[in-house]
Amino acid sequence: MTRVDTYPTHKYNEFNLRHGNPLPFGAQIVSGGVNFSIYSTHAASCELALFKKREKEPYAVIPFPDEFRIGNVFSMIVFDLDYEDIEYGFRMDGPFDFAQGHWFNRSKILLDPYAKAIGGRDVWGREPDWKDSYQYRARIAFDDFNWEDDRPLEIPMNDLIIYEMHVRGFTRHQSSNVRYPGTFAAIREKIPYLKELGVNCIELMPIYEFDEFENSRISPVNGERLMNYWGYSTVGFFAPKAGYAATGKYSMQVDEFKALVKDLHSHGMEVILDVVFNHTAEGNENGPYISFRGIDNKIYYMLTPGGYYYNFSGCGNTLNCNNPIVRNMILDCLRYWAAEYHVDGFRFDLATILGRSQDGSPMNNPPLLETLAFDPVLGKCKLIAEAWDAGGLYQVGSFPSWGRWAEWNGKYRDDLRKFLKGEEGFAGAMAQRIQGSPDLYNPDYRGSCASINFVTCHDGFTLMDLVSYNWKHNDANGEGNNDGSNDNYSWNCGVEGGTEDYGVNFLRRKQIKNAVSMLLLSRGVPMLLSGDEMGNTQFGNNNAYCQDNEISWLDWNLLNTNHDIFNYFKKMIAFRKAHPAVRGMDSNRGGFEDNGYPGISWHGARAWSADFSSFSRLLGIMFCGKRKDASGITRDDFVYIAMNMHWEMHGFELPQLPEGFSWHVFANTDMDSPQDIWEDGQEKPLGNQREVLAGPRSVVVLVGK
Amino acid sequence: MIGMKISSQINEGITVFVLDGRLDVNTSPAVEGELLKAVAPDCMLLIDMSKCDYVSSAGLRVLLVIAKQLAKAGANGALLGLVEDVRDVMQMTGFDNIFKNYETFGEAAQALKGAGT
Repeated sequence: MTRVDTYPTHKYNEFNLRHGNPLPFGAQIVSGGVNFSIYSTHAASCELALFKKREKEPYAVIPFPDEFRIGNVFSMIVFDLDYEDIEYGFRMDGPFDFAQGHWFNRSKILLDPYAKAIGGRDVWGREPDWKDSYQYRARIAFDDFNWEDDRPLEIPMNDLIIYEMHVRGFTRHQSSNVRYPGTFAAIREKIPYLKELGVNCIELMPIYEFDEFENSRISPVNGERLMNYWGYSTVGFFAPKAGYAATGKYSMQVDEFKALVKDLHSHGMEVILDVVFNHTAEGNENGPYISFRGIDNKIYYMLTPGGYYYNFSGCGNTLNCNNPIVRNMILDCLRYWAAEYHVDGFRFDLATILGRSQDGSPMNNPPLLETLAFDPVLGKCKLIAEAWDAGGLYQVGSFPSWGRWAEWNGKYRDDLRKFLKGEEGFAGAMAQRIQGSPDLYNPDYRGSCASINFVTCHDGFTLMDLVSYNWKHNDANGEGNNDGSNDNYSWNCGVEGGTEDYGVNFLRRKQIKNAVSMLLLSRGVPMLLSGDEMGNTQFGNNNAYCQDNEISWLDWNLLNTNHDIFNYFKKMIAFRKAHPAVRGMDSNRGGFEDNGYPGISWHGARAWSADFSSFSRLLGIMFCGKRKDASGITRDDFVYIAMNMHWEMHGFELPQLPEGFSWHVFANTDMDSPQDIWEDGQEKPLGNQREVLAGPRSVVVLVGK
Repeated sequence: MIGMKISSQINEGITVFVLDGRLDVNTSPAVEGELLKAVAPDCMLLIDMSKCDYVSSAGLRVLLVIAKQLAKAGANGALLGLVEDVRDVMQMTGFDNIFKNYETFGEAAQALKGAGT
């Protein structure tokens, strides 16, 4: 039966129109036409500009008739549009009054905040026509997709192993040997590699449409073009980046990204998106009109009483996250990615901003964070906060969570790095971190699942650089080496940068293996930085946000050079998966297993006696739990980790095992590969069952079986 | 506007449609209409794509709809001679598993007849 509202009621020039549906916002394909809907409180009028794809001038500008506005929403159905080959934008008229926060300018073509696909940067790095007055062009996307029986995987947090990745950097290097380097499609080609490594969750650095040419410039140091490579500057929250899709030139980025998610899911891997809601690409008072500024500046941005932009993001403006309109937009956006793209979770960049009120002050119970925590559609999504912002608010351990939010545990990273480099007195801190940071995440409330543990992430040194450089080397960024963090807690093992010195290189590899052993044998959720498993270097650059070149791109040849590192990562990941006692549940924290052993116990040079003094560089930990053996019988399981971060060898007296059990060596980072780590089940019996010797700056992992 | 020529013939009991042109939002309704008319229980349908050098998002969806209708009717379909660019696009957008593609009529005919027995 045909609906009665599928016929035009109005005409404007050759266009047939009728009243639109105010909800949902954006452009929707409806029977016979397209429904356009956009909100603005302060606009006096609105026009729809229609373009043929990639043409500079609109072929039509259709005013929204007054009678088509409901409340503060302009909506209209335009019939008979060739919706695959058009782009659209809006023009808004209203007051221009800086002090009042109004920036209306009817001459500007504005991007729909709800645009589901965006053209203008269809192919990464292709120089845009800067004379084009409409740079980022809304397109109409098909929402349907052949998902078959796919849905988000809902892997328990305890079992998650996250792999943080830059879409382009992962495969852009020619050594990646993929068909369309640097794209979503190329990640699919690398799924067998990711499976072999063993990770079960891919966290993608921003994939919302951004402009790689934003603030683009030539490096005065090496003449390279510097780009907005990382993409922490959103142009459109609802649109996947076209330039990351091999099919972006055909505007098929939506389908290509969905195909990636579906394929990853079918191989047991979740997808988490790194989302940037703290600011937009419109910058400060000198930035361009892209969208929000011309639609309702005062609503979308936090403004000082004088009308200037607050800058809690460090990027020129701050999205007004706890304004009810903006809050709804963020919720709509996340629901869209969860429902339409089957995304498994989100990591929120500078999430602390999401808890600031409209005047910038921190709130006790920020409505946005609460809404996201309890939203039905997001009910099983992972919500991960980067719990600080550029305004100086640091909330690691205290981010408002309602038991739902996890955090990037910055304290984990810092304490592990200090312990790793041999700073004295960090054994106690390390004990907290390894057991899931109960000092930060109350086991009775949030527990260790709230702790995303990491040693490295995109922001900072790679793991190889952490053990190869004492100082950052960011000159190529063209900022006089003033950008990037100075607090790296790194140690170069004796020589700054690359070296042929065997001893230094052996120590570096050992330190990498030490670090990943601690990370993967900690409770909480481990996160690896893509490339660390092959010893990737950024040549000491700890802030490669603008480096679209070999500084950032993974060199897959390193898999051969550093095969021992890859092998170590792979086996340690498999070990974590095979030993539930390591991953742990908060329910057995501090308690005893039925064999009388505690779930976690602390040791040192003497068993049952850890040295947490201010001079200590030694820590032994034993996990006790259950695991199924090869024949499916559940047995007691013991894992002992001796961590000696002193530069001399030390003996660790071992706890006595129950009768019938004995200690076996699973890993010893002081050994050359392949004797450094063994297959699950192939661990070597330990000669002296009373004591294990850990070499200088070494980790030894034992299993009791 | 560049259109699409649709022709059909029956060869060895297989209905072969030749799509000559661009399969996009403008030509999709006609393609959908023509091909769905041929969908019947136990039919064999082959879509010759060798003269189709572009398939848009709308076009991909038409192929999917035809595949679903064939499956519903208990019938079989296949593609013939996809050009490389279109094949790549179908693979990258996840539309590659809706139909099998064959390089020659003989291979396609053998597969379609085999699937029906």
